[in-house]
Amino acid sequence: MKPRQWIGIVLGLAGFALPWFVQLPGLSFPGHVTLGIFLLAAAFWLLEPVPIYTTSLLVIFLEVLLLSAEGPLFQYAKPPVATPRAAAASGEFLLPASAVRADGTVLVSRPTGGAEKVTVERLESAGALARVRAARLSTNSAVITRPDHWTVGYTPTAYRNFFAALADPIIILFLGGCLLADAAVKYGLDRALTRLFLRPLGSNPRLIVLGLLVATGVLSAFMSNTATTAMMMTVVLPLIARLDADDPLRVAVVLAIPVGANLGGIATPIGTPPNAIALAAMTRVGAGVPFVTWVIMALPVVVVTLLLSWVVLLKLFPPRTHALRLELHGAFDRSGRALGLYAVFGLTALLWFTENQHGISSNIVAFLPVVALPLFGIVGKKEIHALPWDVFWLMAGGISLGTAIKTTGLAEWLVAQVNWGALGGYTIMAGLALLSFALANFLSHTVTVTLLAPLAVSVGAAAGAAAGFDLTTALVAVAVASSYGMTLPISTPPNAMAMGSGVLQTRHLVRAGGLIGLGGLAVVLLLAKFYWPLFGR
Amino acid sequence: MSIPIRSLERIREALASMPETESTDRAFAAGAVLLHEGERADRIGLVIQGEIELYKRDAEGREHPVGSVRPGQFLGLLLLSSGEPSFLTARARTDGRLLEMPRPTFLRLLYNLPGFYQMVGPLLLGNLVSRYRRVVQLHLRVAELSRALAAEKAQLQAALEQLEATRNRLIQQEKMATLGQLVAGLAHEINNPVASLARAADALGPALLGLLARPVEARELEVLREGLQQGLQHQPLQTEVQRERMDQLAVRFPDLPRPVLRTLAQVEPAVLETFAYYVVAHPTVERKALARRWVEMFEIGTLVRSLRVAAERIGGIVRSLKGYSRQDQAELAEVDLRDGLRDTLVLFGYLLKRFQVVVDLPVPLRVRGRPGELNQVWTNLLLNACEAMGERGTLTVSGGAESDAVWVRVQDTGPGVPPTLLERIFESGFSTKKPDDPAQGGLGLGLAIARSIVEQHGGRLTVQNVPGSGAAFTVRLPAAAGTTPPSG
Amino acid sequence: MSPIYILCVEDEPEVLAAVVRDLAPFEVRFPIESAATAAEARRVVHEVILPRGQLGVVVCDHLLPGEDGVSFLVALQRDPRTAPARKILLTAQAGLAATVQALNQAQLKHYLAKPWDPEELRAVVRRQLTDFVLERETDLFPYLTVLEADRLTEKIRQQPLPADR
Repeated sequence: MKPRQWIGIVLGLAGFALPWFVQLPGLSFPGHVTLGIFLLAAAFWLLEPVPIYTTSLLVIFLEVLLLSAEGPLFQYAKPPVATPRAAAASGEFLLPASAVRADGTVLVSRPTGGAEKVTVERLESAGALARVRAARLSTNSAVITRPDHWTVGYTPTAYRNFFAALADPIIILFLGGCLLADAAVKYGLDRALTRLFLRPLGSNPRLIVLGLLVATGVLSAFMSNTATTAMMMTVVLPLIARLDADDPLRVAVVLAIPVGANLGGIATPIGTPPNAIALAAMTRVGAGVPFVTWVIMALPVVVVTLLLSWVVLLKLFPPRTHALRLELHGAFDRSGRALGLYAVFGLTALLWFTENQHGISSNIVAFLPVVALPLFGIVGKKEIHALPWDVFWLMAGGISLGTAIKTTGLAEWLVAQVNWGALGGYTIMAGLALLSFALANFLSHTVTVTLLAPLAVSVGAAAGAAAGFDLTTALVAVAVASSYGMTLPISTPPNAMAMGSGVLQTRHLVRAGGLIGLGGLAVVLLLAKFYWPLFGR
Repeated sequence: MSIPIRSLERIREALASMPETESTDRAFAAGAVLLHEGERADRIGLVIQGEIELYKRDAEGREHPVGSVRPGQFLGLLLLSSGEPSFLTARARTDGRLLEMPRPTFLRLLYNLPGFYQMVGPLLLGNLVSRYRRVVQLHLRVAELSRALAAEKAQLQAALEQLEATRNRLIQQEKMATLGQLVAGLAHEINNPVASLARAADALGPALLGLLARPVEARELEVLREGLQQGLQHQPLQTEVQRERMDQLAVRFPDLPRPVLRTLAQVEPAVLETFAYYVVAHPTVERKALARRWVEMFEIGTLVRSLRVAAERIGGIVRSLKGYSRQDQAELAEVDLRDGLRDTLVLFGYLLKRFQVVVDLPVPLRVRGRPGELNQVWTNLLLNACEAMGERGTLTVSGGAESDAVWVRVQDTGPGVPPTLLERIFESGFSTKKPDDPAQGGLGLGLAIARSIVEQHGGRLTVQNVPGSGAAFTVRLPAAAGTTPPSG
Repeated sequence: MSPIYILCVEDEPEVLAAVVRDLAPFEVRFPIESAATAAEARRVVHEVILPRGQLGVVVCDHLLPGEDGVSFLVALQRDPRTAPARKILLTAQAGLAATVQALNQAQLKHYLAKPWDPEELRAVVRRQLTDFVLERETDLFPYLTVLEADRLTEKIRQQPLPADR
């Protein structure tokens, strides 16, 4: 193991243990636990002592153990209770004095979990006992004698809610997208579409670079960025083998693929996991947007940055050759199953884009291909097995962590630590976007958004904490900004793949990726100010 | 025809009773010579008892039995009238007796003594008739024998002719097999330089085009000329040295692609240092471009050099081939055996590649001979040595001159020849090779042909086993007149 | 990613240079090593190639000084570390017997006669390297510009789609 990974383990365990030993004022005990899990996850995700999806699995497991009602902690750890004794006068009870809180209430433990606040009138204290008058107490009530007990104030979530993160509607949406992409590749739809896009462009190298950017972008909007890159690499790498070894066009063509894929992924919620994570976070707090709205919000930034990329690539790597002949194989498959795929694909996309008209959630629509493709034998067990289950678990970990942060009060506590109002809403959003961009250059984009989304949600939860803060805008900005983190070979799998082709040198990627990323970030900041808030709640 | 003893006895008694017959009764023992060939016999004898064999000597002095004389027959009858020397030798086969009388007496009595003729005449006639009959029979036998002999002779002649034809065919096949090996060898020897020629020529065109695609500035010309010069002079490196230099260069210039490093490794380190100091060490854009051009020029130089080397190789092979294939030259000429040996070694180089070859031919080996045929000898000896050694070994070709002879020895490090086979290996059709392996050409005639050629040149081909080191075939040929052997 | 080597064995320096020159387009991915004899080639395999990577293709002359090419290839085939390497015999002359032996014992993949056509040589080497890479490597993208792209693409498209992370 590398030193970095050892550091990750040590930091993670230290972060996990810290809240058990340090009392943070104002933070409940479950909040401490969640903070520990969060720190552990952050350290593991940042430094990767184990694969990132493994960290997600660990997060879910720790939540089930330490935060769920059925987990060993909350199943056995209960606050001490006592039943009130009837005093002389009716409606008057004798209680342990410690049970009565300063605000004149007692907590009555409910059999279903959690506690009910009951207001009492304190008549007198006699040693350890207090005589109170209360209308809503009975001698059967389980009065919590120590309201400052660490379990008090938290209603443990059922464990099924943590596990359910894997079946989160957003993950189902993503699953639908993945299965569609698998089927599309299986029947060569991606290749046929690429040919459709590129054929009209002739042999002008400049137009071909634009065509590659757009084709990759469009495919990537529906397929994973990495899969799109893989497929497009198989198209362009043999193509450039015919170019002179020192023609900069080689670099431009090869760079167009990861750039187009990274940018295209922004366009739809299923384009790339960070979008789905952000959408899940919004939806959880009621700030979600329909599929088509996301597309409308994201499209301008995609179009602008694709054009920007075109200019940057051609400026940095001006083609020397005047003609690049495209030889593209693959016509549209006309077999029955392929036609079935086109129908399912078309119908799904149509329903996604018309959500505002029919009102059926895109998450539900996404299940249409999941059902229809295997049903008609268009995909089989092989494709189901080949789904990126590690990514689903990675996302599920992020979603369940978001759930825990919200339910344990960690979110409110985080909000309370900073005077967000003093910063101003836009500053916060811009800061989040910048942070997302910076982290995403070094981290998995999914992890970046997973870590930042709770932060954004927290700020959003502090209603009115900052004027001009819009949660939808903030989360879209975080997700979109993460996609621009493509400066380094390690930033995204498409980058790594393009480097692996052997055509690029790191400096090519850094220059082009850096320029396009910064340009994109500028667009994000502009849209976050003037465009995205139009869609917020 | 035999005469009864009784009447013979009567004749003997009658003759003995007549004193004028001067007859003597003479006994003879087995083996006694009664008459010598060439001797002048003056007596005639009538055999009474026993048997006498007659012999005739032939031109070479051998005696052949030609008949016998039995009782009642005369000895010396044929000499009766002529008085010539005897042309037969008579030797008694058994003990016996004969009645002898002087020849003149016998003749006189025959005509003058009444009753003598009556007594002897029938005997004489019978004797002559029987001899004549035998002569006639002999003539018949001779005629028969002559006919049989002629038939036999014709048959033998046919067989001989067939044998000759078979032998010629085998020799031809052997020669064709050698020729096949020669052609295969030639293909190999020529294909290598042809390959490098073709490939270098192919590479040269694009290299020149690439070079001239960009303008050259006057001040760069000197540098480029230097690069070309270096390339033209460059000697191919051993692959190990090249690998070592490439590794060092890879450390020094980590950004350069391997093909360029390989070319730079070819450049002499001292030259590279000057060049590196001037160009590589200052990697401005123009300098880099100049460096690249220098390398291109160097490469062009090496390509041109490859062309020249390949052409020289092919020229050398063709020269050897011309020297080797002087088969048509039937007249004797004075030749230096070393030329033929070298040509043969060149042309069969592909077979010798897997062996160490030591050539020790310090002095001219001048003989009068037919070069083409002698080359056949060297070829057969070389092929034989290669086959004997199998996969690896050392072939030594040495030669020297003595006062009236020159010798060439072809020695291998094979298993040697089993002592019992030392002479048999020169027989036609003798081969230690597996007969069913088509990969091994030849019919086992090689050494036989070699020996017969050497013998036709008045020389000798011998083989001996060298202890611990295979077989050595030695060819000795009479030195050409006027050749002075080296002193000492 | 450990480099996959091409090894050229040929005793005539000019011919060796020509082979290496013809194969230079592969060198962006596949470093080329060369040797003049079977013994040196064996040293190169064990001291240079195997410690740094793997042996992908051997282009070998048959008639070499000392040990011949075919028996060298047979020996490579017997060593499990070099058995997967593709073997190509490039020779000016070889008896039928030598070729048959090579075909059977050394898993000879191709036989080329000198003088060779450079395009054919490259096509043969490209095919053999593609086979080798398809058999032994999982990440095929680095080879798309150099090898038979169609076959690599086919294999890539059959693999599970990679996901973002």
